[in-house]
Amino acid sequence: MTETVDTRSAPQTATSEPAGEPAPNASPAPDLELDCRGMNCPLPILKTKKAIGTIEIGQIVKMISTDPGSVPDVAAFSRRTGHEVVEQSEGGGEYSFLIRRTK
Amino acid sequence: MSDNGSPKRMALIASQGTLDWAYPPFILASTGAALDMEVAVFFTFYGLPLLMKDLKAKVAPHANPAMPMKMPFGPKGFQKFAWPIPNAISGVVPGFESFATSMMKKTFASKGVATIEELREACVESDVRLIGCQMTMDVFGFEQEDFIEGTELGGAATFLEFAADADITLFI
Repeated sequence: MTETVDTRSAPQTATSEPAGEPAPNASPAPDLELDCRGMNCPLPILKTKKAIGTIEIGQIVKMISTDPGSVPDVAAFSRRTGHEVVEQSEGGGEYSFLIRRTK
Repeated sequence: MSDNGSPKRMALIASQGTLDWAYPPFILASTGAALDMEVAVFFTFYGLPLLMKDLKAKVAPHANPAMPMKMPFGPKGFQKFAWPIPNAISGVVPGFESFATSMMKKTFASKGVATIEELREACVESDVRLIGCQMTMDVFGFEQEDFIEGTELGGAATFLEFAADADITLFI
């Protein structure tokens, strides 16, 4: 994978990517699932933050929401905290985010 | 950035105690903490009762012409209808404030919005500093035991000492 410099993205940590990274097209398996469907601002962010606190560094939480505002809000949360959105999808009025704890 | 240097800091003043005005400080404070910010909220004047164990915040439609009066139940068209209730009525009908408060709480619940109690709990859990104004407490005759655990008492200097190093400061 090539790395591009994006000033809006989270700062890179000093540690290198762990070996055995899945192929670019394969979704990493989440270590925790969080259902925020039906919840409104700021609950999806508050619940995501709490969930990230319960997993180990490097592990992934999958958050599902129905609030369209959670799309820009999760991006902002990621830029601010440094936790990485590794995958994001949308369909049927639902938004799904895979977020890796980075610290 | 949050990774290098000290965390961002947000200082809020909560000066209003109605249900609608209770939301902004608690939403911003809990979300700020979720974004790794250091947050303190100074509850003063009518904002102070928001720290009471028994939260009684109500909404006051009287003299608030900007508030849409809508029903949280029934068919969609009915729910979207804004009832033209003049001040002359909302101000004199007994129980109108409680009715409007109940309608707002139902609407918020049906839209998946957290209650004030939930947001306040999130603030306590994430170490938001909740500073109750000592002077307001004395003026309104409250006691320390009226407030939730974690309430810190202080005055203008206590808030300003924190706010002096804040990146965001809002008066709500």
